[in-house]
Amino acid sequence: MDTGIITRILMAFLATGGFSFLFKTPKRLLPIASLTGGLGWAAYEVIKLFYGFESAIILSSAVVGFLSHIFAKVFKTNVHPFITAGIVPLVPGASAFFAVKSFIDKNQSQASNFAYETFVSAFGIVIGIAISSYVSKILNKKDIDTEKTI
Amino acid sequence: MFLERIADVLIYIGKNLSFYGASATEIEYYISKISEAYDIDVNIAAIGTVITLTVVDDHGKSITRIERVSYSEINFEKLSLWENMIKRVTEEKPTIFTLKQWIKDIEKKENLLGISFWKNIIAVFIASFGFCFVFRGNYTDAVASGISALLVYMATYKITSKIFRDFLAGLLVYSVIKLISKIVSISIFPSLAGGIMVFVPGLLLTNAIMEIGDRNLVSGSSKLMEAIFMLGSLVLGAAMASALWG
Repeated sequence: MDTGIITRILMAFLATGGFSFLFKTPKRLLPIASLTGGLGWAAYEVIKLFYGFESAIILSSAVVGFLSHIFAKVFKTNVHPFITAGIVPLVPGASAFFAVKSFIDKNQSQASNFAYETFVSAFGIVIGIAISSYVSKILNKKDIDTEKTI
Repeated sequence: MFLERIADVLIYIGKNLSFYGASATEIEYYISKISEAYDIDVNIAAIGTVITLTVVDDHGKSITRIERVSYSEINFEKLSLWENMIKRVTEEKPTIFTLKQWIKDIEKKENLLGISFWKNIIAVFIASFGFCFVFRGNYTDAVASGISALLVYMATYKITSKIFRDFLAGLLVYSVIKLISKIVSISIFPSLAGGIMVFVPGLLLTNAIMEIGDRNLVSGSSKLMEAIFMLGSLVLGAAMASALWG
């Protein structure tokens, strides 16, 4: 039974909250860290509908990265609690598990699918985070330059 | 003497940052920031579980410290205490004695931040429950997933060997899911996916790839190897359970 896109986004929010708690995220930042995960997953679901899995993983990781940098600036804290929790739903943990399990079960076709998903997700996350970090650095530099001019 | 004190304090800060989950790139960045604030020449390399630091004075005299961080716990609350202190150090540039006092103050605060086992259990249930839905499971699958994850989390909580812990976790999660599936009708895929997400070294894997992206190649590859071994243990644990259950 398909639980629907909205339910999955809400559940990603909830699951990220649970993870953030396990990472001992400061209490005041817990809802924001969960929100990062929820919005990241929302971006993934929506982009996947229109542009496919590969674009979805790269762009949703970038969304998580951007949001984390914005929240870190707003709440005057490190980017770590947001980006770590936000990226967790996109991390290919389960697909990596099922890829290896399928190889052990000698189900090569299913194993290849899961392995492809794992590799694309892992590298997609790297590209997405790299894009967001680079753009955030440029924007931060612009902010500092503007302040200096004023 | 001054050089030794500086090296001791810096390596101690680096060790704590590493212990609470900071990446190698961050440890190197923070220590470099402190050294810039004090106008000291410091070379630091955080390589996986080892931090190497060399402090050089104006006369070219140098001192090196090497620290092994063999165990770590992700704790952003404690990490943020250290990060805030570093921010304060770079702004106020206190004397080395004041800095040592600040470190003592942080350690006092750390002791007040207790870890509640039962709250962790609830968090594990919520995370697995949520992930099961994310992997397109239904309500029954999610409850089964949450129950299996929390039972296995409780059973493996005290195990410090990550490889053995993940092997046992894979074995037990699969077994509990199979047992539940004998009582109620559940889909194995989403239940198992939700149940194992708590134990999958996703953070380690992502940190490893990000560190490689930052050209922290040795640290990144060593973390990647650790993540692969942990994932392998989890998979083989579940595979063994699958063979046992038939």
